[in-house]
Amino acid sequence: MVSKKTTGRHDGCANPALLENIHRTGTADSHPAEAGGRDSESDPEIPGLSNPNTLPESYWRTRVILLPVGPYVVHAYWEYCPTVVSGNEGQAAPDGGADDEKDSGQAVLRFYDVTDTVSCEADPDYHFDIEIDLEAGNWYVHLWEPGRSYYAELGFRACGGRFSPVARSNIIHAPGVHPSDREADEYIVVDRGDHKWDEPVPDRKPPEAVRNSDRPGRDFPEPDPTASLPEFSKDGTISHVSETDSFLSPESTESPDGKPPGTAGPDKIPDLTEINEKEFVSGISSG
Amino acid sequence: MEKGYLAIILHAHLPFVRHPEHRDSLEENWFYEAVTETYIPLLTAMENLIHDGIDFRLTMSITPTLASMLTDPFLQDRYLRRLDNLIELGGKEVRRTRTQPALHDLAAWYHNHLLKTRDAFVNRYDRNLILAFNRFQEAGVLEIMASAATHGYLPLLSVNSSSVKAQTALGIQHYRELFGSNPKGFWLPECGYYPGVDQTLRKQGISYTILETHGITRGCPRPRYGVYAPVYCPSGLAVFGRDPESSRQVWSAADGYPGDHDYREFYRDIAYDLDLDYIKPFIHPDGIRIDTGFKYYRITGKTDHKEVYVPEKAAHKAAVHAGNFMFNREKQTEHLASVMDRKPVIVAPYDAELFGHWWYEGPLWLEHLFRKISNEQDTIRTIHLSEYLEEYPANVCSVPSISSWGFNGFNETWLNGKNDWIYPHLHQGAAMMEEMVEKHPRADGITLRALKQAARELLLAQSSDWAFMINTGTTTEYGIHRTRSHLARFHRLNSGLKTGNIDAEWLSSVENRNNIFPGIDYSLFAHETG
Repeated sequence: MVSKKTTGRHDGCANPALLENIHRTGTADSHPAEAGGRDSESDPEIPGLSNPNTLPESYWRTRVILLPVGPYVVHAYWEYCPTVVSGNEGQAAPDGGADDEKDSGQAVLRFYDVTDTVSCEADPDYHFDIEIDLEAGNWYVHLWEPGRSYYAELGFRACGGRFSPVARSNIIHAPGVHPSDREADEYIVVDRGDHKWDEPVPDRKPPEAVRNSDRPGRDFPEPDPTASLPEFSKDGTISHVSETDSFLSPESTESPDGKPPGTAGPDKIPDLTEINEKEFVSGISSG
Repeated sequence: MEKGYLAIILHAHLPFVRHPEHRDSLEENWFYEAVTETYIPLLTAMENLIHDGIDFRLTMSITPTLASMLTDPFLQDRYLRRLDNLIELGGKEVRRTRTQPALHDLAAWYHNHLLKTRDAFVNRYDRNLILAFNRFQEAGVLEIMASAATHGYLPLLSVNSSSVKAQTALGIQHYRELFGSNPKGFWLPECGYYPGVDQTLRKQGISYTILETHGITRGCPRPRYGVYAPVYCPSGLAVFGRDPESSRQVWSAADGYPGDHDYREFYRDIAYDLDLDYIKPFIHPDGIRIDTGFKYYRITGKTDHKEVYVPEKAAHKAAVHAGNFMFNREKQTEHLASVMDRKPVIVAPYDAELFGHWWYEGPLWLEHLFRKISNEQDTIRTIHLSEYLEEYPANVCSVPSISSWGFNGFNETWLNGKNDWIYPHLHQGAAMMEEMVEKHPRADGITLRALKQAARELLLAQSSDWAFMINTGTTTEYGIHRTRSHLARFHRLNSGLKTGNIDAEWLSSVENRNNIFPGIDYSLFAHETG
């Protein structure tokens, strides 16, 4: 609905915008609601922070989070606190722990594919590593296969190859890009009334009837009832709409075997899913 | 006897924009413009249809943020103030254009429109449009869907299940308080779906939702009828898919009806054309030019030269386009009915604000469409999606695909190099909120107030609108400001709760400013196990 403009930098490298935004303060000073010398927000400063809208630079929790961007890109962000490992916030790492690893190893995100596992426990031998700049804080990772499920570990890989994880992410699923090969054949019926609301609907002031005595009427001129509006197929005046602008190709509109509606067997149904896929234009509503 | 159904869905949403700290807020104008150009015209169209005995079915989602604004006396007063301001401008315009007959007629037309809008808002709807919409729901012609509390984009909030639970549960609770009934449908913000959110909705009594086309077509297993019949998720939630053809006819910038040359040009407003001295009382006091709604030109074509707008021609074209849309749906339905073992349903969702605000003639087009479908053919009927489920309770089971109606169909609009910095803060904020709930299971007094306000601030920070604004670059600074300011207040409240040092005066001012969900249950953010 707004301007069509995008967007993401999926370049498999650190995103400078994140650091810029996290460290930048005072962007609100120029926001339009305060333009032109009007009073700025009256919030007193947050204790310990220099600007009312400054956000913490660190939450002091070692963590790594994955977010799927699309079928082929996943976003990872992390925070690494040398004295804190995931699940032990506020506790020092054990001797010889992650802090030492950081000094001697390469920071990596180790991705595990758990698509075909039952318990979401990955085969430890089936993974891939993405070397990262630990200070970047986030990364866009390209995937070569859509429709897979992953989690990642943030850790350090020593020269000898030993991997020391410090945090484990959530599991994400990268969406697929094609319809499934398996067709649904199981019909189910859901009882619409099976939900028991915990509480009765709260009392509400009954809406007062909209006054019908005075019909609002429309602002536009009433259509001339004597003028027959041109039908779609006859009207050549409709700009950017033509008679051929129907949703299906002529051959696909033929009824299978001349059977009446409702009697077509499953093997005679045109592939409506495939037709939908061809017609589909993503982002038409939100660009 | 009809061969199939058409479900028109209008998603009505605005972010919560309320700035009592400013005498004039640029962003509050989004709300004022939508009331004048979209919500009241849609109500008027429905009244006209009922008055004329037209059988029709319309579905709308009205988000909790928008509903809160529509029922807020402060914003109602401010809307009226703006409306009176524009009515005064209308009078001046009638006088200014007296030597220019074409513009003069338009000025008088707009002036009259504003007077009628004021009468409708004050006298017909008693300032409360929610009550008016609900009246049509109770009459059976309008079905209103619930939606997430602050339009949070659930796929990216799902790192914390408590956020998804709070967004959905509060949205449903708000609906029940406002409309006095249980919602059947739930609009997922931005049509953002991920497997698992269906269970959350189903547990809360929701029957159906709507996904972008590929959410259905790429489901597993593959659905039998594309988007022309719903599927059931394993949880039992029914999911309908958007029809791409009917979407394109209205949405497409290149081919859609709203781009017709006879329709009103949105971007040509007298606020930008006239001398500052003349227009100054009707724009922002600081001299920032904002739309007045007095737009005298039609789209004309891809040219800077614009012809004068002619309402009669635009109205005629709206009728023609309604006929065209109906014709296409008839042909579509005839074909689908011939190959399906049931009546197909064509689901056509649009942003409500497209109708009237962006596409000025949109509400008239909709009114024409319902009239024509009711009077001029027998192939299709309009329907509510809950009615379709009553007629066809047996549907195939499939797990829909991750999807949204955003750019490229997934999460990219709300997660990219411009706005990804938001998410570490939102996720950590939810974790902190969970900890607050655990630490204060039964709060009272000022502690309770602080917890409730912390929940409000976190929810407001979660609005998908801010990431969208930052991405599009149109109102970037405002999106950044809103994200940061809500989160900053949240942190301050958290800090106060930890130290026991809550600034009561500051808390009162924040409560007054961000007063959404007055009865909010902060424990909705409780950590969920399993």
